Amino acid sequence: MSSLGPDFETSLDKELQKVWQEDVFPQPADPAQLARTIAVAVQQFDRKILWRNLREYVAGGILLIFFLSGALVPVRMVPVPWIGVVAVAFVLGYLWWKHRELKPLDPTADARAYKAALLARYDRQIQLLRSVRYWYFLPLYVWIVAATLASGLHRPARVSPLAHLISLAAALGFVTALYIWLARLNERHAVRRLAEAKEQANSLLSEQTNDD
Amino acid sequence: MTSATQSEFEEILRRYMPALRRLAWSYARNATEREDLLQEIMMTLWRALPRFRQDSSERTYVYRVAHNAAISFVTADQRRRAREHSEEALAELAGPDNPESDAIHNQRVGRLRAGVKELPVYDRQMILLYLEGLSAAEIESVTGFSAGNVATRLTRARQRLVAQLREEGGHELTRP
Repeated sequence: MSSLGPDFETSLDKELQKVWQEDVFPQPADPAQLARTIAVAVQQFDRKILWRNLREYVAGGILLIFFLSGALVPVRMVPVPWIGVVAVAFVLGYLWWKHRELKPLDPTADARAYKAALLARYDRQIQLLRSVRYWYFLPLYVWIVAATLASGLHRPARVSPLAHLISLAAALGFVTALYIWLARLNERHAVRRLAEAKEQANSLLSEQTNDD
Repeated sequence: MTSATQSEFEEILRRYMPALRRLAWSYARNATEREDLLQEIMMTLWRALPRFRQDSSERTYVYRVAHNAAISFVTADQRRRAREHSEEALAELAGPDNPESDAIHNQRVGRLRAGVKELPVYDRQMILLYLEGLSAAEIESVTGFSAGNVATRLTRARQRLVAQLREEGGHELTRP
């Protein structure tokens, strides 16, 4: 290790290396068996992740079918089911597109490149969560507003026009407040938690890199 | 994966398991974490094996993957650390170990490992690679730093380690 300087050619370092490599850990019973077990564990883990992702798309698919079946009923003043179809299709399409972008980290990269990719991934996830109000809450909000308006188009005979208007406004106000609260909750908690995690990762990995 | 990949993986485990255990021990805070990390490293190695195209040595490839898995592990939150699949069988297969009690029997090893564990992550990474006997070129390949940078970082990490060992009372390890 001549390029490491004289400090690293001392007997001290040789001694440290020797002590370090003294193996106090017993060998695993059988590497072949361990390799097989790892292969199975990876397969099981991948299958779980696949099912988890699939469940999200299946749930979206069921919603799509539900809205499409409603859209088949003709003559409506507000095309609520079609708005639902567009909203759910948009959310699913956006998620699929973003999942394609979020590629797993390359574990064979060198440590420096891996660290940069790790931090960049945090940024992408934060960006995705920050924009959740536009790609998730807004399309569904449009649908629920349309559904609320559609349900308020026919005033029951026993309700006065003013009372009907007030109840409609109250329903819209409630829905709007609920969506704003959910969007802010997401930003305050999920984004903040992820930003903190990124900060922790950054400080953990950058502690000694001021001479990069 | 082919049976050739499987036997290649077996060979890697056979050759590098002691080093992987030492690495896992250096990044984990307790026995459960150590087993989790070791499993994570082995799983990452298995997944990454098809990408190994002999353009680097097997040794640098294994250390790259193992250190990157360790970095991901230490930066992950608790929820991600909680494994979704069974660990008990794997932990058993990986072999029982109890370095804490081993360290009592082997104080020099124990002190050195404790000293390494106290180092900041990047210093720890450098010193681990050095203590495992990797050459300067191999350390450059694993870390991605230039030769000069590796030398500087390694010197600093080594000074910190020696200071740490002296603080811990490991004089017999730091006497030239």
